[in-house]
Amino acid sequence: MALAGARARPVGGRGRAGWSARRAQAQAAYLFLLVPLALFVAFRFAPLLHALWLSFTDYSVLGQTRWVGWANYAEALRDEAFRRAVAVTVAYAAAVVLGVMASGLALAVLLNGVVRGLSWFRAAFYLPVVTSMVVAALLWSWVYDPATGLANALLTQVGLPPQNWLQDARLALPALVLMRVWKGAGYHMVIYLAALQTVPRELYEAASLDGAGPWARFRHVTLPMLRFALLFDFVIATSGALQSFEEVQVMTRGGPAGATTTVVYLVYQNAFDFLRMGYASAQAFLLMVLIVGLTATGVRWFRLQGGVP
Amino acid sequence: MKRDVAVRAAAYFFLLLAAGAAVLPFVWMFLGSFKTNAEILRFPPTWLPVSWRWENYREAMARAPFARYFLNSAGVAAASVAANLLLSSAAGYAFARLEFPGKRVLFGAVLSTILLPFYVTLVPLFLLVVRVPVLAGPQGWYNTYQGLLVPSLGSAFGIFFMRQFFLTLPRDLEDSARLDGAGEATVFLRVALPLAKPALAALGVFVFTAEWNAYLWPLVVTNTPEMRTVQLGLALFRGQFGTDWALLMAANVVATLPVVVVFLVAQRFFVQTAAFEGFR
Repeated sequence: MALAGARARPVGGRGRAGWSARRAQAQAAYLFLLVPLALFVAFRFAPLLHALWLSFTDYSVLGQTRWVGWANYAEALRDEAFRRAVAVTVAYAAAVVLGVMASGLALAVLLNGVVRGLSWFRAAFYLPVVTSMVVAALLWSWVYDPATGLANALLTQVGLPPQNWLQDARLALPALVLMRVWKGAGYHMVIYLAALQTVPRELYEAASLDGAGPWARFRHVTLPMLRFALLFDFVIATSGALQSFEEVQVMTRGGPAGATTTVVYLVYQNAFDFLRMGYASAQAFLLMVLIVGLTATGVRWFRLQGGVP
Repeated sequence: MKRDVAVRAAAYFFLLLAAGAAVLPFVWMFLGSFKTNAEILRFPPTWLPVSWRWENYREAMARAPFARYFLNSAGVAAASVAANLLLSSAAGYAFARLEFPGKRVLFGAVLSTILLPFYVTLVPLFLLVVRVPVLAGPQGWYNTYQGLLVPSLGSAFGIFFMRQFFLTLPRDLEDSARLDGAGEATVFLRVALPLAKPALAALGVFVFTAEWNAYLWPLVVTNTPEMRTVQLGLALFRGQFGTDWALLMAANVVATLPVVVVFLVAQRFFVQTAAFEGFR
């Protein structure tokens, strides 16, 4: 018996015994993988192919489904609402990525020099991260409430006029950006902090001996040592921000007048409000192309800045 | 020397400022949850409630079936954690430690979907859940616990995370167990898995938080109060009771407590999975 052979001898041997041990190992592997991979195929891999197929049809739950070729893609590219959503999404993501990367990096650098209270600070910054987006969005909906919110209270305190925040087409998107940076900064800080802790202290000491001040040490020691973390974080932050949905759905419903309608919100509306699931799938894939394109461009830029092979 | 002290003082100053900004909205939420409506409407707003109105909590919980929402979220999160720990550790171990034909291809397939955005498969997953009537009646798994669980069962993240962990373990113990005549299942269950406790804890905390905080999928796949999760219930509460901020904040506080408790107890695990979280 193959299993008995495997029990009797170590794996990796030669000849008959080694062969049966390898076979036992392969059998065990397939046994271990059977259920996880079946679920993975059913709930992840197959839906991806299904989505691709849908994007070439006019599927809408009801009625006959026809193959429409590239028509959905062509319509999306002509669709004013989709183009607007792409512009909103890119602007939103650019501001959010810049915000969370800069604040995360700043917090990490500050924290890295701290001797006392590190865990307290880290917990404080991470609290918004573990909070759900729904709770954060509801909380900030109140903060931005024109009549009773904290934002206007603070503004009037310093003598500035109160704002309409989420009901103001110019301010709604920046208001969402601020909320999202507040919520995300701690997560990005943890990534940079982990990377910073691998930077040898001697590098800073040597730089100090050469007369480098705090800024020069940051510019010529910290930043180069963090290039992989920055690149990784850029990819994560960009693909995450380009998929924004929850805060939009809870705080603004895409308004006012489409000023905060992101692509994923539009996809959601097309699929579940208008039941245009084929069209929604095409929009989803166009966004995926955008995500891959923008992150790849960013990665290229990082490379050109030097350092990342 | 003097300059270093000044730099350090400035660092603490900015950190305190930033920590204040991070925590302030929570303080505002917590204090607001005890205020009366009259006090909420007061301008300029107060920080501390004039009188602490504990009834806000009772009223908020009574206005919507929050107990049911909690139970639903807790049940789905627990099932998801159990399934993910079991399936991910088995698959992760196989990919990290066992040799078998097709390993590279299969792992490549799993890995290739790790950055795949969830929203891309949202529509097909919905259709899949609605159409399992073969097993589950005309509506399939729509508006059921099985339906709520579906996306987390297909996640590649746990498999990848556990594989990375098992790769860091020394092989010696497993090999000596094999020399002692242990079969592969025994080696996995008795030798490798007990060593994986820290990784399992980290993955468990991660899956729990993700599941507890999930919104988009429950929004799409449930339609009755009996099946709603906490996050969905909160968002609908806002829609129903508009700007009754005090009650909404009370509900918010209650809904946030479980993850905050888990976070404070298991802080280090959050930090461990943070680098992987982007791959969700």
